[in-house]
Amino acid sequence: MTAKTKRSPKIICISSGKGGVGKTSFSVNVATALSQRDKSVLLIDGDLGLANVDVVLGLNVRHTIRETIEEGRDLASSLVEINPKFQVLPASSGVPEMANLSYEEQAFLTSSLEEIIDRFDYVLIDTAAGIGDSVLWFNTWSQENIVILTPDPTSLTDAYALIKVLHSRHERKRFHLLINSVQSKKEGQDVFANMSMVLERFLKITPLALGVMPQDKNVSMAIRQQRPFLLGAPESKASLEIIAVADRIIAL
Amino acid sequence: MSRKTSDIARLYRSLEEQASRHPVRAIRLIGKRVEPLGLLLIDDTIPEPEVASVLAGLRFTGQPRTASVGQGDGKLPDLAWLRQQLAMELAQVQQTRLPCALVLITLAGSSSALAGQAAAALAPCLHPGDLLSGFKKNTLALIMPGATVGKARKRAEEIRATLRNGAFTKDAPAVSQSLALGIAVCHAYETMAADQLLGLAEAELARAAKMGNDAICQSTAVRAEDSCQVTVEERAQLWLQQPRKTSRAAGMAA
Repeated sequence: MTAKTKRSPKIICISSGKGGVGKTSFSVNVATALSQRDKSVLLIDGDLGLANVDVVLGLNVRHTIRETIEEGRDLASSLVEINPKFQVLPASSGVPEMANLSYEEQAFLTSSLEEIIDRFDYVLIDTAAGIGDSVLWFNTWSQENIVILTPDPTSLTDAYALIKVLHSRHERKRFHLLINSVQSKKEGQDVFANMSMVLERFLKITPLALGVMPQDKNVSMAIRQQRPFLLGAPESKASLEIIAVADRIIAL
Repeated sequence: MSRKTSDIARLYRSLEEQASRHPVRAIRLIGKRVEPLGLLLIDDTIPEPEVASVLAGLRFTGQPRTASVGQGDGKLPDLAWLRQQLAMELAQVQQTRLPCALVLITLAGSSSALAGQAAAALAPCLHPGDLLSGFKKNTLALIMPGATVGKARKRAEEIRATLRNGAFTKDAPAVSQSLALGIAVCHAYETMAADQLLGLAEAELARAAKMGNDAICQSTAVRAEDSCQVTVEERAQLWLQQPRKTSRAAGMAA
């Protein structure tokens, strides 16, 4: 047997607080962009009870994280290859029990994940909305935290609440903000500046700017076509920005 | 965060949880270090004295980390053991980033063996990794590693339901008892000594006893979990750039 050199992947968690702000679409497309940069990527569907990554990618999933938790099935057997550099670990949908894993189950999932992640350069986790146990646990397990928000007050408040909980209770200090669905670059910059000001004032945190994603009809069209917009409309504004974001992630 | 370090503790808990599904006892072997020395899986059918003999043969200085329950004679691990285990669990909180709950349960009754009998009755309520011991006269202490406030409260309610009918007492008709339960939880974001957590739980126990009616109380530190709530000032700043909506009345007037 030849000795295998263990790699240490960069684990990045993608959360938002509020649902419907584009976490899954962003995760799928940034994973695609990273794979196009010759980086091997594992995208974990961290919405364990209401999974969506498989839907956005149009996958016909046979096995999910659920079988690993409930039956001890090898996690690697649930991986779905999207391209030679991009694999997905799907989760189950409509299973309330999976949304509230006990700490024993979380520990078991952690040790199972640690067995498969070494073969990747990047592990992205697309979490559920909210600030439930699994969301916080995935965020603390990761090395980098990306928080997605839109200019809506509900999104701003929920993103801030998520950061506050992660900072106050779990000592997370480094947050990358991605402002999604903006009408102009200036609007995105204003949202980032305002959020930065509030985080610095109340939590003494200086967030990092990951990017500003414009509203783009190609995004919703791609979701309906169950295909990454980066592949369907590679020249679109959203695609160009996602490539820039992928490059910033590589530079982290 | 040191993932590897926390994984060791998580691995133990995971293995204990898996062992609970099989007819074996998982005994965490404790030495003089904070970290366990190992995990022993032993056939469930082997009598207690034989297990003790095996452990003695292995010459482990500490006591096995199992959920110790009374055998009906009131013999439970004592306060010194509780302090020792609690200190180890609180050290684990910092490593695993998982909370640890302490529940004190007082049974007010005339029988001196009440706590021991109650401990035996609580066996079905115990989860893997739980540590049950005596505390003071007719008071039990239950350490729940990994339990959040919500989980500890829920489990305290289950314990209360189990103990409430008093069916566990050998002389049930003659003994009338009431219950009081006090909960304190240590989170990863706070550093707490064993005596501090015991003090918090004891204060809550006293409050619950005063309230009567088999009350369950939880410490103010526990209730301070709401401290992450987004404040009015934070909201105002977050929404600073947002266009304000006119009120319905103002709109109608216009």
